[in-house]
Amino acid sequence: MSAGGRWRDLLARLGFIDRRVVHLATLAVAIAAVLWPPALPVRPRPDTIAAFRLGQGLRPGDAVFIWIDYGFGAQEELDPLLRALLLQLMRQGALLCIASRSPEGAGIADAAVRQVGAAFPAYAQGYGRTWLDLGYRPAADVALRAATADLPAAYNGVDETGRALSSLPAAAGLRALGPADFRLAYVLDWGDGYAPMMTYVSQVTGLRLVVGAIAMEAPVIEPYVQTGQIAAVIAGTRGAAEYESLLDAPGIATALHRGSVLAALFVCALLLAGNLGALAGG
Amino acid sequence: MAVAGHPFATWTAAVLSLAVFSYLYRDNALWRAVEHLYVGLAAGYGLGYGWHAFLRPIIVTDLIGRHQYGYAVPLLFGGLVFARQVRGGEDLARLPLGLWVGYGAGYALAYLPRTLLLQVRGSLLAPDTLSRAVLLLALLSGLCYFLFTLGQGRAGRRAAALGRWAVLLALGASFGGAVLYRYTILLGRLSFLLHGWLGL
Repeated sequence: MSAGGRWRDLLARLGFIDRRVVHLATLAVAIAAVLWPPALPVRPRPDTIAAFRLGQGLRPGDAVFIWIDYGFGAQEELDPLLRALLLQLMRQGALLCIASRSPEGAGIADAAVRQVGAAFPAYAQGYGRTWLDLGYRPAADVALRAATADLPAAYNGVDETGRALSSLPAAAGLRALGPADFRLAYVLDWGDGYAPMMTYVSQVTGLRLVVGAIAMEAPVIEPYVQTGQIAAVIAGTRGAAEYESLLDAPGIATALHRGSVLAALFVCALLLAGNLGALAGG
Repeated sequence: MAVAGHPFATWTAAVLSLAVFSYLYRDNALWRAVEHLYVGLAAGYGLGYGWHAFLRPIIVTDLIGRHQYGYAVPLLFGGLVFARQVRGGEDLARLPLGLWVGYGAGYALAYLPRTLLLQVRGSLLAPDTLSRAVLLLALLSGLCYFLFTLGQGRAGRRAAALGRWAVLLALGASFGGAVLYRYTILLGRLSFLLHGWLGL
């Protein structure tokens, strides 16, 4: 067999590698990425900087609405971003009003606030004063629209644990979901959570909206940023890592982002190998 | 993410994660058991949470405790969806579904035009930057590709071919994002197993 034929034969074999070998190689690269993430620099992009500046503009006591639109499935990607956002909001002394679109969202938010808030006594011991969790409501569109008219009524006048909102000082000034009572709204978006928030709240009331989305969803949201319908979007783990760098507090997002760069290179190599194999195999 | 709390929780999460990963080798009983456990837990959690956070405050606190009997109307009306379980009750079950669909359509018609029109206006801005020029070109050529009902001349076919490439590039970018999203989930889970569980 000629040298060219041997190469062609070798490349053709690439198209028939046992999938379990691919899985094993993927796992090996992922383990390497977790244990030894490459020390790559993280340079914030304009979208992330815009979101960061909006957060930096908050003054102590300014209320923000945080809508958790993800469950356990997207926790690995969006939790680091939620923690980075919370770190900034707690540094700014903002009043946090949290609600969720998924049943798991309330627990996820509580855990994140308690973890990040451990370094901030005002939040660690301040439930009901510096933050509150309204919990989950089905029929998100209707609930949000109702919240723009009467926030406590939209949540039956109780928080996630069933305590009366009228007994929580934090809820005293929060009458309606709009710019009169809130400075900013955040959506941690797994699917299309930004859409009802933008359509029924932001566009109707003028409340500025920042969306933190999984990387897959971010390109879909970007056009709304360009038209001004959404104030800023933070995209996936990379966006979270950029946020951490702006906060000067590198953490889990930075590690995950650096690891995912290694993983992306490996995926590119797999794609190349698979396509070469298919071409050589005819 | 690392599970904070009792070692039992950490070990349970780690063992279940490994059981799920075992599917990468082949379908097996352990994987199927965990799959059923997950589905059951999710359904149970959703039902329990829905009752405690939403239904119970309405039924127990408002309807019974505060005598707000108006809540009984939507509750009974919503309960009609179960009428399909009774022979001859299918028509009754369609009533709440009809209201649901009609309400959704009305909501969409009332609010979505503004959202969409802003997007259309944003897409048709003067192509004074490279990004806007590419966007406009991709938009118009993409529309040409989906013109199935009109005959296309040579220029139209070329524009359609360009539109096809624009669609393929967009789908490719989306697929790339999907792969990385899954990889991030894997990295997060491995981070838990290696750092949170094994303490490496």
